[in-house]
Amino acid sequence: MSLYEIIRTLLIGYPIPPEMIDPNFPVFIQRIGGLNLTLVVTVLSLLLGTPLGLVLAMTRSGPHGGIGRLPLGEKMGWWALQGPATVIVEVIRGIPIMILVLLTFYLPYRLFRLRVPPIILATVALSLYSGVYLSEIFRSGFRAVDERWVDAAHTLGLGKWQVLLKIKLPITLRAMLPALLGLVITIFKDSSVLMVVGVPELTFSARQIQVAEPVSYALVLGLVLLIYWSLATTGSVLCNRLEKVCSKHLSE
Amino acid sequence: MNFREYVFAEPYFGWLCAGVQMTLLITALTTILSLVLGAVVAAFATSSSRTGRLVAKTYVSLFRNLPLVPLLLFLVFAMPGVFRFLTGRRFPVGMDFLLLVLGLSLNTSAYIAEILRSGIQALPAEHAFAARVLGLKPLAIRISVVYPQALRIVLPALGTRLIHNMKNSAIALVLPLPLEYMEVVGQAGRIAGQTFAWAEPLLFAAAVHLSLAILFSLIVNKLAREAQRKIEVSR
Amino acid sequence: MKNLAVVLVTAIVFLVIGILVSPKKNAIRYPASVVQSTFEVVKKQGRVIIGIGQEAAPFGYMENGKLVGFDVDIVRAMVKKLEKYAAKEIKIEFRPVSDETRISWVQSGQIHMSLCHTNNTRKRDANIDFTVPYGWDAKGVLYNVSKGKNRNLTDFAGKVIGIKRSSSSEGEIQAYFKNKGWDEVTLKAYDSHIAGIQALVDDQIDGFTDDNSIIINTAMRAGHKVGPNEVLAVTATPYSPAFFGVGVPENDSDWRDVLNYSLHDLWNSGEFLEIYQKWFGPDSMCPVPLGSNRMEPYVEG
Repeated sequence: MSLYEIIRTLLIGYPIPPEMIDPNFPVFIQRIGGLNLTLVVTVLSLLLGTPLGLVLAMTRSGPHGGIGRLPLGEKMGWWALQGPATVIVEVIRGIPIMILVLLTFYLPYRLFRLRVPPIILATVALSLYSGVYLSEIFRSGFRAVDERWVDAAHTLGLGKWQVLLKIKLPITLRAMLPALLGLVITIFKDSSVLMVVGVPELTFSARQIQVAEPVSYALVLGLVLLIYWSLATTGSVLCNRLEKVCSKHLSE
Repeated sequence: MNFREYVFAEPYFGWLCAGVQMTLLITALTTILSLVLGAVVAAFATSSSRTGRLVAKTYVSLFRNLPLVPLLLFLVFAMPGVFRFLTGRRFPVGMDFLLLVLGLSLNTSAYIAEILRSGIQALPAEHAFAARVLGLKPLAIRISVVYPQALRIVLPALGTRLIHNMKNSAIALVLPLPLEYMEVVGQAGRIAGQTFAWAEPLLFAAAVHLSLAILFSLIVNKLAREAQRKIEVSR
Repeated sequence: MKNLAVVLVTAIVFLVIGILVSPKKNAIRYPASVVQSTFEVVKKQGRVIIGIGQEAAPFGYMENGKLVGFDVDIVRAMVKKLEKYAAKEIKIEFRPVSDETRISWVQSGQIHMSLCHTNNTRKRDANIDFTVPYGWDAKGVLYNVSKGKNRNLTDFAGKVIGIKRSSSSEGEIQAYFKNKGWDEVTLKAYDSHIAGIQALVDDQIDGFTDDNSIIINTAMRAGHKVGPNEVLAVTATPYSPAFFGVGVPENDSDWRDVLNYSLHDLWNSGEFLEIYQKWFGPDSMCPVPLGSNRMEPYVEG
């Protein structure tokens, strides 16, 4: 296997024979592999994690803390929602991502005999993970909104939606952006854990090459580390820039 | 669910208990090593020497941006070959556990260095000035004035990272360790290899990690509250 | 503080519930669907889902992006025979299984049958069922010739030996050394055969063990020479035999019968030997003479 082929395999994944493809699920999803799959799983899990994180954060922030008011009474029943939300967040934050991934892969079979393709399970595991961390980021973002600004906006005659769109959202987003990008990088790196359950992402592709081809594992792993490092570094440089820009705006 | 057979039966329960001990041992060793490494790198990062700062910056950007799974795989599987290629000699045997500790510490220490640096830079410069006026030497100022205060400021962030470091020990599952050196998730996988039941031992491992994380965060919270009180008193 | 207490209490409650509801020993753990045999499902759907190993030459491995190997050829021929019993065309669908999932996926109904060089051990037989053996091998220890020629198993007492994770070697080799009264071996579980063999070449372990044909083939494919006077060698005496069976769901007699018939038909028609010679014959990479091993070819009628 030439160097070019190794890099190509790491980027698009090891070829899958047609017989190995499950016709019950979309075929193109099963053909994704390597770095492509890592990126797809990262993006998907962040997208799916966002609604989960929002719900968790708004529940835990209570009737006044969220970005808007939830359609629930002021006092009624909040503790009943806050309890489970807190438990979900603390439990998933308390266990390693490795255990979370393994449990997502082995528990549904064991309990319900569910048959789900690995890539969906992988996305579910990482969505839970990112959703919980996103909820913490959202919560601190909500706290960045000063009630006095909101009051001032109301005094100036802005409506409920205008306040939400023009005051609350921009402030929240700016306060969250650095942490958000940090989480993107974390999820990107942590998705390498999926190799233990045989999801053909970047790290597993390296293993597939090692098992099937007589090439040096050191070289392949070195290339894998280089790919992860260059992308993550680009991300964190971007993150630092954004942090500076955001803090400038906030202090103004 | 059949905990009775797959978790609380011998020899599996013994394996898991040994695994819990190894998790604690790995956590203790990596915590110490990464605190030491992190403090050294943070000292470089806040030093007046330009090369020192550059070294620290490189270290942090290198190990913060490398994912742990391929890093540990590289250390364990590629190091023997690389070592032989470079020195022509055999890589010492039985280093896997130490390489695991080293790999986890490299990652955590990069984060810790960054946390400590931000703590040191958050300190008002007047503190160091005052100490210099009192006639303390630069090293003495660092050790007795700057570091303790910086540590108090960053304690919550440091605690979070160290709890994260404990959770990272589960990645040892991908490494070929001698069976008695496997941590609790590795032992759960070993039971699964024998009994084909992943769920029960894994849930046990999850419970262990969860209770350890809660225990440690309680301790960190307590320490952080005391530190906060001291900061307020000193103002 | 309050949050943490809530979590702790919930975790403990879940754990206690889990322990209380866990059934007594010897209860039926995985009740197989006795309502409908897997054979009926396969017949109705016109497809069979086969868990196949793809990381162990010569049983099942990837070559130039294609899945090849002894298990693969055998199962393809088996399904041809199966079509006769089902009286309709049956499509093959492969699912990659690892040593971790080859048993549990059969249990959970993910796959209809599993061929992944699975040694039929009693522990496994308690969880799933096996067809008659379709392959035979022995387990020896691969070692570095530079550290001593013609070594026996006794030379490895007290040494560090690599095994494949989730293989049955762990219990077998420990029991063998214990029975002989030799010093216990230290075991290191590797994620793949090639990783263990690389560690052996790098002198990180004293020996590596699994089914002889797999370790020899894997080593040779990685470019290492294997033989008594070469770089790597396998001990002459094995510590355990291996009988490879097709894993099928527990208590599904109809399905197991029809797969056994297919294997017998292969044996009786001579196709089995053809495939066997292709992968284990004198011209193959690692010849394993059939010796006295026979598939139990039941007589028709």
